[in-house]
Amino acid sequence: MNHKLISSSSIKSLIKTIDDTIKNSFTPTLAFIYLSVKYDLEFLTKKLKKYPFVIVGATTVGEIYADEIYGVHVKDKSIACMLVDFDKSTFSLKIKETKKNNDYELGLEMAQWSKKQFLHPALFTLTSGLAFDNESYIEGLQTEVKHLFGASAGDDRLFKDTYIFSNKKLIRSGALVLAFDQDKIDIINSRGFGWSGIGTQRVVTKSIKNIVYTIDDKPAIDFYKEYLNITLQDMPNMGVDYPLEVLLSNNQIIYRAAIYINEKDGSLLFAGHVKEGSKVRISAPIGELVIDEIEKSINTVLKEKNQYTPELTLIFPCAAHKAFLGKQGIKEIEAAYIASKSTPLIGFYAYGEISSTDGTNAFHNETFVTVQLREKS
Amino acid sequence: MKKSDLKKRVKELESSLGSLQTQYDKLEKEKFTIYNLLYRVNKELDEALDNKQAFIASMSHELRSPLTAVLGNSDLLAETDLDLQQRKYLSQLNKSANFLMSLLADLLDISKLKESKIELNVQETHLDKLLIHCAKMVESKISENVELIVDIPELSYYAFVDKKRVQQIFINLLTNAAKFTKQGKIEFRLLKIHQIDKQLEVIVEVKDSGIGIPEKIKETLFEPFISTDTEEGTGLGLYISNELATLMGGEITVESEVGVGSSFQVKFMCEKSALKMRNLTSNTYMIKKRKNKNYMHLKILIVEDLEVNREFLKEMFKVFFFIEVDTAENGQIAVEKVKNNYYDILFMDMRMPILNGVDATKQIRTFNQDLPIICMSANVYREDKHEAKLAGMNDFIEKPLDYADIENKLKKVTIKKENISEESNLLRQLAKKHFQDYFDEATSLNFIKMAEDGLKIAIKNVESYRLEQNIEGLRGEFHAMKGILSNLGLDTLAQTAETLQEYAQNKDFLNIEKGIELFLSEVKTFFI
Repeated sequence: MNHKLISSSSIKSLIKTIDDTIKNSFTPTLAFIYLSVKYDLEFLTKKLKKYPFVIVGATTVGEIYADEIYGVHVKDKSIACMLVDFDKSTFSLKIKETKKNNDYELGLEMAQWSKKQFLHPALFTLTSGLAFDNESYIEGLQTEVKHLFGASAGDDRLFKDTYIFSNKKLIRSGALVLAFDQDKIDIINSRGFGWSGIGTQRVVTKSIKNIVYTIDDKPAIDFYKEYLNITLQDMPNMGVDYPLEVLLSNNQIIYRAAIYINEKDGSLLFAGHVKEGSKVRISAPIGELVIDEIEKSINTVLKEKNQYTPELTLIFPCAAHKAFLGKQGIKEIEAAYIASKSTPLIGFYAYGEISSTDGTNAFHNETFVTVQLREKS
Repeated sequence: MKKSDLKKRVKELESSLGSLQTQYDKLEKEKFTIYNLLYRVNKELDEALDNKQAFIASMSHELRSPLTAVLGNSDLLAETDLDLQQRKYLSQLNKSANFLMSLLADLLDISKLKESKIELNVQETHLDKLLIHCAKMVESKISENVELIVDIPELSYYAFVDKKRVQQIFINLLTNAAKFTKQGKIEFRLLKIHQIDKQLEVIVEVKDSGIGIPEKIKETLFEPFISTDTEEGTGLGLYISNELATLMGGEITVESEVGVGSSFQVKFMCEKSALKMRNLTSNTYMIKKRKNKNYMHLKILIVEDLEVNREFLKEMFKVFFFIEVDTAENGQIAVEKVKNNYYDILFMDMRMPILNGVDATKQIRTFNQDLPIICMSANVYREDKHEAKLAGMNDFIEKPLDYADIENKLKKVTIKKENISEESNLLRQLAKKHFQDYFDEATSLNFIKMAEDGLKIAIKNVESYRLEQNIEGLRGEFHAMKGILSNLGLDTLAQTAETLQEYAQNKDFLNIEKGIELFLSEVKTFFI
């Protein structure tokens, strides 16, 4: 696989660099474009229409890229792009807007479509829309396909509007799926957390989807107030920094960022579902050990897959990692890049991370998802 | 502004920027340090808690071995001739040892629940019969002034549930209700069974008119070691029951008022079986003729390092199965004995000095593939079972070993050898048939053995009270026998016991004398 990385501060310069690259005898088949929501996205998608290759993109909370020529970079309010030339027959794209409350059906439709494209698909999916129900959408995907990865778009922590796009469409609330043919592309996922539960374990006694009403039969808001003394003004930032650690009935641990508190009914709104009966604790970052944790998560998976040398690395760290690590954030990305055997890397800080290979819970918060791809020879 | 002033201002700003930068770096470092500290301290506390759990698990395991010997030997003692006073002391001893054993089982359950090591073992079950059986098991513990209302409708389908755990929950709740209700009624109802896709949502209520739960205890009712019974309760039952209900995708909720009573509602989820209910009437009385089993010919080796347990097992096999077993103190001796002797079956302890059970089995398997090796362990974790299986052990028997479990294993070996299995005792046939719908064979035999022990004591007491013409004593014993016989599904005999109890209540010694001989002789056929 060949690749070309482009970092740009304007749409015009991005388009110009892509044009120049194509002229210089590089023929990409696929492009990843991640950028700040501050750019004119209508203008961008209009410009992208002319390209004959597949384009997938999303707005972010920070753009990430790395390769041997440019080194490792974490950018704010910029545009990052990577062009690659995977065999065209190995992937296929579908992008669609969601209608109200039909996120599960959208997932189901995407999964069924992917099964018509390939016998054994693995799905790279990007989603947009703050009200988009990622969990129901993924549940729909998992009815047909178990291997999933991707993220939900961000908007520089403004929490207003997030977008995904292809060279055909710009979508404010919906999903795109880039289905890969696993018979031709070898893909591995890893996920690391860097957060850890603290204090006493409690039980969610009443919840509906992503709204938790009571924990240990007391208003859920009391649980957060006792630990953090939060007010509405502290949300969602405080809730993102101190998410709920959730132990699912299958013993899987996931994290859920609190994004809104309802003083009237004492409920908490989370960035993903929290099932009734789940055992929960409040959690906090584990200091600079976050970096080791992420490195370890990648190494563990790569070690299991002997002799695997990735050609391309996609990463989707949660925006909370960027906020917590601050200036040290670059060290985390460097560690991920080195652990991924210094293969060309592109990614972005996201509002939700998606990764599962076996049908277990795939939608995450506070998580660092790393995906490696290589064409089978 | 002058150029020189501007330069000065820039320098000042650069200097304060530098100082802010230093301050920022310092704060960031402090932030990481604090989070690191929080993480480490929390981890240490978690580890300390884990150690506490491991300690409880290990202690309950260690305590079970000697307690097994106490219970086993008291069983053996009950087989000997004892006078009434001695029997009374023995019964007290048994009661206390059984209480201690159930406390240890609870502690082990708690440590497993805390480590999420309990796995549900679901089987296709008659849920309605299982629930009714729970009520029957507790019936004898209910005061005479209390009415037990069981409202469990017959279900036309099977459900996949963990029988042991469902029983554990309801026997616990019903026992509590029995303990705290001295008059009025206890209601046991299937409130709701609702199908959601393939899943069934089940809600069962245990409601009593007992003393109720004080408000201050209500909040902590489902926490371990909180009991409303200050004399006897361990305070673990409700905690375990609630955790088990949670494990089954449900919960237990409680409503209670002091002086009025309590209502516990248990919600749990289970899968509905696609299998249709069999035609009960056509199968209920189809009993094959069987002969008593004879295990005397079996050659058995017991490998156990603790002398007290070794001696107890030796005695148990002798008294109950008429088998003179061979013993070995550790795995190494066992390997040598297997090399030089023929055995039909080997019971192997897991943890022993010199050579443990797993390694001994591995060695035996290098030269003998056929010998059935049964692993004996008080550790009931699935990792241990897996380890035993990997080493080449054929089966697993949980310590403390009891009669039924051992017989179950012996039966497997003899069935393999003889390929026949018969049982001639009619009452046992009926009891077995009655239990087999709810329990596996080992559990059924265990219950039968428990009932048998109870009946033996009751018969002895009835005979003495009859001689003493102690009508009150007789009334109590007939009441006890009615409960036991009913639990065994021997309804006709249970009815006779009830009639005799009524005679005793009316001080009608004449009618008792008319019926007692035949009744006792019929009950005694159970032991032939």
